[in-house]
Amino acid sequence: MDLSWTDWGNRVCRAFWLMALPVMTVRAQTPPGAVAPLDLASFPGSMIEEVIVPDPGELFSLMDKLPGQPNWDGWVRSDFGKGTLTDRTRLALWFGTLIADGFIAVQAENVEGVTKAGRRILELAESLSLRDAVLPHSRAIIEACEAKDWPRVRQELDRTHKTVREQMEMMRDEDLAQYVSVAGWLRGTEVLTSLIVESYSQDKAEILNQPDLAEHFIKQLSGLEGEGRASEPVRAVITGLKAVRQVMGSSTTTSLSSESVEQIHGICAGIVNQIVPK
Amino acid sequence: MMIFGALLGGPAARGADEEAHAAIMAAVAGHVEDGFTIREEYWKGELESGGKKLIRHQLFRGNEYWFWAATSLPGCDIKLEVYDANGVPVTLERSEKGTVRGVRVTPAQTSSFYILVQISRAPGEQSAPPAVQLIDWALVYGYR
Repeated sequence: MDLSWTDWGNRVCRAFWLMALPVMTVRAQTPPGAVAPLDLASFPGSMIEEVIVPDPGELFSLMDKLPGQPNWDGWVRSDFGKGTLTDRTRLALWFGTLIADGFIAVQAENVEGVTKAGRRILELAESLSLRDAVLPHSRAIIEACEAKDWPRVRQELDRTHKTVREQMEMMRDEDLAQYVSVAGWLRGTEVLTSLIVESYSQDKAEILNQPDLAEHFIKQLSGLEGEGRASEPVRAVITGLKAVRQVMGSSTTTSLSSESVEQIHGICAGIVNQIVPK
Repeated sequence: MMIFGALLGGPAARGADEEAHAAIMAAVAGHVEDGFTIREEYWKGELESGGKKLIRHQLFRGNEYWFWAATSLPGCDIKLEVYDANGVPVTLERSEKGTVRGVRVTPAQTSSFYILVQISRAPGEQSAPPAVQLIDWALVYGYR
């Protein structure tokens, strides 16, 4: 078969376009200026190990955005735990639940509840030798609460948590800092799950799609080497977290069933019950 | 007295990442007025020029988030992106205020997300003093 120069030219042009087409198609999927997907399995950098746990207000505010009026007031404690503890592990766990209780009282816009929580936070800080660091926050919480400046109260509660964590880390009490975080998350989850069950919807249940956070706490607590690690409440927390992690990861969709939410509630309530002295 | 404080690394001294954090907090004041809660805890660290860090973080559908990154070192390019659990970029909007870069995200589902921070010296700033090999950074987030 004889081909003229023109035919050869046409064939080469066609072949060029056929070869170039897939490249152009790929480029068309990521136009200039657009961000390409990230291959998480082969990320050419390092991961930051530090996890910032969402504050309870971050989750609670979602409940207020969804249909149905959550009964926050029903979860404001009339007392915030009695007795005096000397065991610092138990104190740190109790402290964590108190911070979450402060957020619950803010959500309920309950002046008395926030004031009581603020005072109890200071008392516990004193037992943890953190009075001086926490005193300005406690005062600010009560002041903002009297002014019904709820965003400021939330900010001060978050600041209190941060200050306490930093102080504990400075005092080489990193274990205690972990206990504060996990206990706050457990108390927040206890209340959240109860309110979700009261008026269940898939949108509300989706808030509990946090298996990675549960996993993070399990890893952190299991890796601690201090004396507290072997104590009864910490063992109960780890066992409970593993159960919570299992339920959270059991759903094939992003939302858990009402039964699963209730199950998580039971686990968290059981742990918090052990943490807060009667 | 202040000089002594600075020499001893006392209260007068402030870490570079704290400067970056302070720059972010000054830049985001308007967002607080718009109802955003800015978290007190934040991520920080150091990177070599062009280095990348990835942070896994839990986000909730129904909330709106802003992430802001900054460095205390002038003349740096900051790349900030948020990806979902499959590595798909989800950034909706970007902001630039002084040395602070921000990205806005409204998660399509409640899950873990990934925040990428990359900082590079701008081409004109490559000849920085050898003492400054690492670039400090801070990353703050807010929600409403």
